[in-house]
Amino acid sequence: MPADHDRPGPAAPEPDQAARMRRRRRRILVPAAWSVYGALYVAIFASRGQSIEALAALIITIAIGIGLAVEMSRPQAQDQRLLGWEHDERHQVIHLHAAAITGYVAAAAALGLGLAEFALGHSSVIWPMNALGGLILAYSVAVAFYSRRL
Amino acid sequence: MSRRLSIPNDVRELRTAKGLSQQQLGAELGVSRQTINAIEQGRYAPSLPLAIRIARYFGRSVEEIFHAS
Repeated sequence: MPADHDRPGPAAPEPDQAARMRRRRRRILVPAAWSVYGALYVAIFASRGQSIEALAALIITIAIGIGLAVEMSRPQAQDQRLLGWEHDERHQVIHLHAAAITGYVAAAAALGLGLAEFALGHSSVIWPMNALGGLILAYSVAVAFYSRRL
Repeated sequence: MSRRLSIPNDVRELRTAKGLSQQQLGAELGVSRQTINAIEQGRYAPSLPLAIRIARYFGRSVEEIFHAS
């Protein structure tokens, strides 16, 4: 049986080129997504007539947007295709650990806030528990995804 | 989380014997100077691909450079 993967299609990009395109898309998409998110805050503040808050949101959005754009496009001496923290494998491990701790902190915060909401009875909707449920769901999906992939 | 492995190795000796700085070796291997430093101090266990790159760079086997503690 002929191996299909031995015959690259005419439009198939080289692996390096595909990786470069993927990273280029991310370089643009991440700061753009942040800018849209920040712009929503600015627009909502402005629509409520809160001009000082709108200005503060605008400044914060621009500052973080510039930071993201710089970080995502920072040229690397070793490999131009890589972005900031992808620079080397140890940095990747460091960021994975930091992401895991962030997840634990988020889950602990949701648990604590859920209990506080329940104890104080401020509202009938226990949104921290919903947030915790969302985190558990996201974690389960991620585990399932990587279990198949790795 | 992860196991904290201490991996004694000869990377520092091999690097200095070649007259390379950590920065230069990192550039050769495609990792940062900090990573080379962490490997030399045994604080960071490199991935298998990186361990093989290091071994090939110095013309040794992985076992000759990295010693199980």
